[in-house]
Amino acid sequence: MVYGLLIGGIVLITIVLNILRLMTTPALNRWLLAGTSSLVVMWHGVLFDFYDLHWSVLLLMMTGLVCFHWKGMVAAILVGWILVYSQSGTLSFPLLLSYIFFGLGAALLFGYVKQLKRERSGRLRMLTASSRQLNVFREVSFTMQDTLDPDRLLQTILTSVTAGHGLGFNRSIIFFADLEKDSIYGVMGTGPMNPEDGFQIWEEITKQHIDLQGLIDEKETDSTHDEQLNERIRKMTIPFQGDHLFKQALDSGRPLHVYASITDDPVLRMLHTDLQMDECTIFPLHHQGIPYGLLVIDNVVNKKPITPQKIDSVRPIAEQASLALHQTTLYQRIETLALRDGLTRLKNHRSFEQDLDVLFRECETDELSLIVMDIDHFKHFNDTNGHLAGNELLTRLASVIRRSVPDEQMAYRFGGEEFVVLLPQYDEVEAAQVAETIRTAVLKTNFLNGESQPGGQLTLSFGVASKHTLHEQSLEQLIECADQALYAAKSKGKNQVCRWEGVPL
Amino acid sequence: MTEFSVMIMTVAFIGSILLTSQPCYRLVTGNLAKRHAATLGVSLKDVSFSFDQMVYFIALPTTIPEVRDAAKEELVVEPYYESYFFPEVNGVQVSVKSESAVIPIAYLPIDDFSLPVLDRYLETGKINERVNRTIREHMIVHGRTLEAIRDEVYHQLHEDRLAQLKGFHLRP
Repeated sequence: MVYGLLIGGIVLITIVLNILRLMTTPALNRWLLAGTSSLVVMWHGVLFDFYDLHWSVLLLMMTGLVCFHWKGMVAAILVGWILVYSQSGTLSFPLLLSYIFFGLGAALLFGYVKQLKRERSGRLRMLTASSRQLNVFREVSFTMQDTLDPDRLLQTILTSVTAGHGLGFNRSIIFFADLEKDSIYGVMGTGPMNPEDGFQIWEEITKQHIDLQGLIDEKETDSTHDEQLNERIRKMTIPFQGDHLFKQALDSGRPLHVYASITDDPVLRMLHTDLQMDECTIFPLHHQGIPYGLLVIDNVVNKKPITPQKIDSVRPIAEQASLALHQTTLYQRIETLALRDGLTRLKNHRSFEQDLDVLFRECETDELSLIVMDIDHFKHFNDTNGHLAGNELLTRLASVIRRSVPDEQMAYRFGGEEFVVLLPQYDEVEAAQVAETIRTAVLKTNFLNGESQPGGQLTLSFGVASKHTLHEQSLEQLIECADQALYAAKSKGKNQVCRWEGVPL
Repeated sequence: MTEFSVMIMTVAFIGSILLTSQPCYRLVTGNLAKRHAATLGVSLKDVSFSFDQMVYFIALPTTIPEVRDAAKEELVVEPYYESYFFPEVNGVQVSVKSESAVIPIAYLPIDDFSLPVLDRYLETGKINERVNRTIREHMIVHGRTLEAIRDEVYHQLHEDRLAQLKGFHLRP
């Protein structure tokens, strides 16, 4: 019966005080736990006439140790010893010595357990940080290796350091360095303009449960959250050879951790003014000594400090990004060499064939027109002025064509003195108007030695064909018909535009 | 016999503390969180949360048979407390317990448990760090959250992520 009362009382006291102590502050919590153990000892004493108080004191010592470490334990030893003295009436120094030895043993054991727990927590923190870094690095490496599209690459770099699934920074921005133009310019960024925008975006993302791939995917569409930021940073241009921290980061090859609000650096002042940037880290992006640009990160929304550990976690990504940028740049150069005409810098014949093939397939129901143009009496020009002058003429003419067409990426050097222009969504009438624009622009341009041409100036003839007027829907037929129209223009006296209208000309 | 009573007292006291601390902690935190939420005019049911900062200790998709073949019910999702005497949740851990071993799969630290509404209130000074922590602790140990985490981890374990990425990147 008495044991039942003892246990029931202890459980009741413990539960009630457990609830109470958990509602208070951490310091009061400890005092209440110590108080609970005192109540339990008192409850035991009431039931058993404090007969074994000298044993019960051990519980007070342990609780003191748990709540207040060695100080609590020493206090419990002294209080317990005095309580036993008050109860028994004799001062027992051997008992005090026993308490001290017990306390020492308990403290050692408690310290050891605490140390183990501390180590366990530390290892868990390190494991968490390393695993996160490894996971992000793995996904990003895979994405980077799998794309040669510069935009997608930049989006991947930015998203991997910012998104929830990434390293978790609030904002990141990439700047490119152009040594030839002596400038560092903003290219792309992700994140909010200010904390308020950040919370709004983050709530949206949380509601939609978008993951890392989803975010990269979303950024490829038109509706991104970063339009305002990108608009702002694309206007940022900084001289490369200046005395500023961007240059210092590129020169040193090491990240720079700085506070934009308390620096006199002109670049960081600009970032602070335009983007409310304060604590930030600048990572140089360079590979084999070639500077490609900079990655700037900050926590504009939650203001979390950027710790050395966090900086270290970004470094491998920045290095991987530099390598990927290097590869992409090389690929672009090779692509340019393969798909661009070396003289005029217009796209070449191979490029035209590829684009025409894609456009023809994509424009199943839509219109697609083609302009073929040829310089009149070009052989005469070459014979009269030499081939070097002929090359100069072609270069100048290419720039006139580039300026006169709706999309300069759709203008090509077909070969020799022939050029072509592809016009998706244009019918033959609209395409003929474009051809007329080019013809007029050529007439208005003063070409070197142009007056030596038979008509006293340089002229071009044009043939135009459109997809819907073809008898047979094939790209070969489109080229053939435009070519026939060109011959018709030539045979009608040159310097004019002829349209293929479904009947032989 | 009274020495025996001291032993019973000690065992009963420590046992009660250890067994009741965590349930009491959840009860108290839940009540406090609801009270704070009511003051803010927010329904905790409608608060959106994100566990996208969950860290996986294994490669995804995994080839570890015990994890790969584990049913959703076999995933153990439990709050991680650092102390039994002074319980305070530090995160949520996910593991698979087989007969021979416990294989840790993922961990979500409480500081990375994203509740944008709370972040906004904290930033604007509507709540203090203690209230933020209380609501956060209640939300992360809530059954709805733990179940959502279980679903997410199971989904990640069985999703051929790399194949999905490859398909995604190779699209025209």
